[in-house]
Amino acid sequence: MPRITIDGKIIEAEKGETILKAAERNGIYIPRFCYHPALKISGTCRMCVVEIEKFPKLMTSCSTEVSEGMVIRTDSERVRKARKQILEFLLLNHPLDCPICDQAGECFLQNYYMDWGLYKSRFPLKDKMKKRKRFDAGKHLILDNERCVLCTRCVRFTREITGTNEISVLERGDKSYIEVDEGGINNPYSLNIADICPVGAFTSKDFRFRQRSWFLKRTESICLGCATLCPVEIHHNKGKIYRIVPSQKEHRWLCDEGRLTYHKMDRELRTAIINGNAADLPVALKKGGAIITSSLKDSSVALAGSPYLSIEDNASLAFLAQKLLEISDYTFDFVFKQEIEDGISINSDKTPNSRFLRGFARKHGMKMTELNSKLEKGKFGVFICERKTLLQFFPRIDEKTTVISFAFEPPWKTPFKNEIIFPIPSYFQKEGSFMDFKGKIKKTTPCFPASSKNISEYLREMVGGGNKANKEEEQEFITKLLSEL
Amino acid sequence: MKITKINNRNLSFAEKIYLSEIVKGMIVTARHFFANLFHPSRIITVQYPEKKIPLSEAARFRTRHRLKKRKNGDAKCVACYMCQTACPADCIDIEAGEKEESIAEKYPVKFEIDLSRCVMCGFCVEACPEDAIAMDTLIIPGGAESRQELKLSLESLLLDSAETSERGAVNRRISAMSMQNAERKLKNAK
Repeated sequence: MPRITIDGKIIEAEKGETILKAAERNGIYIPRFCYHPALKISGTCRMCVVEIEKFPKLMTSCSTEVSEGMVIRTDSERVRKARKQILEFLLLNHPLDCPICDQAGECFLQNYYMDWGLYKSRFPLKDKMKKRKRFDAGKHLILDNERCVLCTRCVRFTREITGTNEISVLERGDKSYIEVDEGGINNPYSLNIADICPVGAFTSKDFRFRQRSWFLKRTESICLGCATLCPVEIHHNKGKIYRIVPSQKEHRWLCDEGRLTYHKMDRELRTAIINGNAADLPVALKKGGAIITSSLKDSSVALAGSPYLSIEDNASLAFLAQKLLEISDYTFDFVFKQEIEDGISINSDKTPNSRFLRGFARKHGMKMTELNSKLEKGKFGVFICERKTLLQFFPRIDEKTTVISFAFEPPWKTPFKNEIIFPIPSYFQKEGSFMDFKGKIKKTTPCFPASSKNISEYLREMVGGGNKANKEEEQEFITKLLSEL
Repeated sequence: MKITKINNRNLSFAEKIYLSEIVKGMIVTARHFFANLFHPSRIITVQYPEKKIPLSEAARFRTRHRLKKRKNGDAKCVACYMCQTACPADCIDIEAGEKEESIAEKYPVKFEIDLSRCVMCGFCVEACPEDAIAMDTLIIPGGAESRQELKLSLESLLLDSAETSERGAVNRRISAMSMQNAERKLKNAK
């Protein structure tokens, strides 16, 4: 354990640790462009230089390992001067794009200039190096070579993380630039490049010009795109989500598909749908209620849980099936193969909660095969299910069966003859617990209030047996279940 | 803090019964009435809002906003949202779009100023990095029949030069009025 001194503070560093990491752990921030905690060290930007006693030159803190008795100064006059001059070099050919650049507000160049630059430009505008501006660099990315500071973060990302090698640096000196392969960057993690780019060279086509970064409110939540349940930060403003980025606390590479899942909020379902036509909620509730009560008489009501719903919602469905509907034909038995195939973060299981249901189905409801065979016989009058899961049952559901489903985005094509769809809030609007593929419980945080009711509220209103299954009991059931997990 | 007590002069008996004061006031009113009746050209008030006094050229007021244009007729604005950020009344609403062929790749698809909220502070003009917004139209926003009318759209903000030529209309009447006011104040002070 080498003892080092940074800015007069004695620090116990770990063996083989770099100065930058040791300083960051102790709350001393050293500016950087090329250093990224998840990528290999390259030491190209020289922004992180620090003064070390007995070293004749300034050293890059991102690549220098600590050794016993080092005395490091990160804020001396010499370091400040060096930073200022490095910034001047980096900004020499940088265009005056800040008003139209998406990175403005979270740009390393802007922030460092305000902290350590503040010099007057000595370079005339007309002499600036002209490079290729704003061109397509793949399905989700746009590249502006003039803004690039050649930190090579993107190059290292495609080499080390995705292994696709689409980006490289060509030419030398002030002529050097980032070159993208002919096909563009089309790997499933391409939007991470827009995130790790410290300046506005790589920008996301999806987020481009839609909102300024300083207006965005940040909510920590999880991505429900697959069973990995990556921790994310949802950026939203005035009831609209603008982008999803990986959480700052726990860095993980977030796939493009997961980042774009928020687009379903643009298509949010607000009315009920009866047989493909929009209908008022009270009308649909009345119709659904009549069908359920008549089917309950000859006990021909079936219900299925959903791996797309949270633990709370599945639990309340099970509770209501037992206590309110008093049926036995319900299932929570969903099994999917769960594995991260590419070794980064995309899971082969696209449902967020099937790991939980695997355990839950053992105690509650019947087996999936049992329900399927009963469905094929066509003995059910009503089938209640979440809309996305419902399609799994589609070919087995009889024409006479009325399907009551719940969805947060409108399914415009319906394969069912008799169908009532109720709008439910998505997990951007309400809290929900999920179990990831490793068995860890994670929670979503609502960004803004829900505009529609929950499944249990709809079922209660339709069946109307409030005395049979009271809400406190349901809540108790859910909290007990969550505490057991 | 020092407190100064002011003892108001006691009213005399004639003043207390008000009669003589009312007569004095009526004389002033009557003088104006007959002066206006026989010399209508000398009336110093105007029938606002049907008639409006054009502002003096030298006036450096902050008046209704306009968006400047480039030579090719495009808006100078690049939708950087700086004015919206600086606006204390939250009255600017911008939506940006992307253009391939223009000078700047970003341009405003929507640029709305809600005059019913605007406090005419001029922060938007200060904040603009492109010198695209100005408050020099010399139009003083007044009332409207509906709130929607007070929302300036991008088109109405991109006034052409013919509309902006309103400035330069010199109004001696307004300066004369302000002179009279100043004189009156001076006399009263003496």
